[in-house]
Amino acid sequence: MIKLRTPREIELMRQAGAIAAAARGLAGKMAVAGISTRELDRAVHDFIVGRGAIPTFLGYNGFPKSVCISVNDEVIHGIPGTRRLCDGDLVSIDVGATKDGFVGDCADTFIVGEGSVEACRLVEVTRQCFFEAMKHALPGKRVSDISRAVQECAENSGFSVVRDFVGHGVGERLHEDPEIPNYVQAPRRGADPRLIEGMTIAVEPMINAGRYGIRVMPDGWTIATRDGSLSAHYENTVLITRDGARILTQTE
Amino acid sequence: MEELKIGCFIRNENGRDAGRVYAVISTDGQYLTLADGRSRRLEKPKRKKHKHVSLVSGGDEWLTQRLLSGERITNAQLRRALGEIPGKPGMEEVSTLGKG
Repeated sequence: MIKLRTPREIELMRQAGAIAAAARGLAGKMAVAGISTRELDRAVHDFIVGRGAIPTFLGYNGFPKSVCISVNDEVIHGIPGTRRLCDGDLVSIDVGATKDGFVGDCADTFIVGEGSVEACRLVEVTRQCFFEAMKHALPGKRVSDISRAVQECAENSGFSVVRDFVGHGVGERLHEDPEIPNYVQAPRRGADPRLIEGMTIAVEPMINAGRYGIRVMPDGWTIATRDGSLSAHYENTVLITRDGARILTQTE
Repeated sequence: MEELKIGCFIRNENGRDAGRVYAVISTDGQYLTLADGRSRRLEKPKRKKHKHVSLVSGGDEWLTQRLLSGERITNAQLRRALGEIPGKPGMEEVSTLGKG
């Protein structure tokens, strides 16, 4: 079921979202050559806990860390570890914070030092996909209007959108209904709901520089591009209002 | 007092069914029309004053759309929306897609 949020719930989600967004920003600033992904995870974990929130991903379905850090050809769900970032790496950082029972979920992709032209363009287009989608996040529109905006923006730029993983509703739980695909598909019955005021969704373009195929790495969590091409990810928790989309994962 | 809109879920605070959760089917001034698809079915909903209920949640998107557009819903779909029956109202297939 797709839950509609009350003003009180929205305020709690905004508070959780502000913590998640600040943690994402912190990780972005710390993503420099030489730092390990484990150190980034620890810093974000401490930041979230220090603000009275809980890192949503820690233990979620058994995920062992507080942040998903995916480097270069890794799309999402990378497990932080001993890997040290190098100049030119593309680092996707996905953060979730739960406060007072509500979740803020957001992600961004950063370039360590100076990136290739392709990497810079991929990051820029991925963010652009999100903001194109926001133009359609209005009451009365459908989820597929968001999906179409992301897909057209990515494919018109020569990139592809990941098919096997999608955005989602978010609220008391990290993953709620509805699913928010980044591509238009033949809808299953009831799978293309209209957007209405009070819905809270995580819109998250996952864009590959090459083909859209993905593979699951041996750790069982990390998703990487099948062809080894670069991948970028950008995400915010968004509230549907009568005046349009309001991003809840924004720093205060 | 929080605004109680069509489709939202409320808890009855007074009467012999105090504590029971209903969906708001329609509103009429200070009165709400309530149903849960079980003890209060859609064909015989309950009328209740605003001041005797409290807001539980903003409700379910599918149910709200149906009620606002005047489309027919069944008692089973209402129970599903209220979470009494597993599954999603109006949705019969299960997705296998992963979430980001």
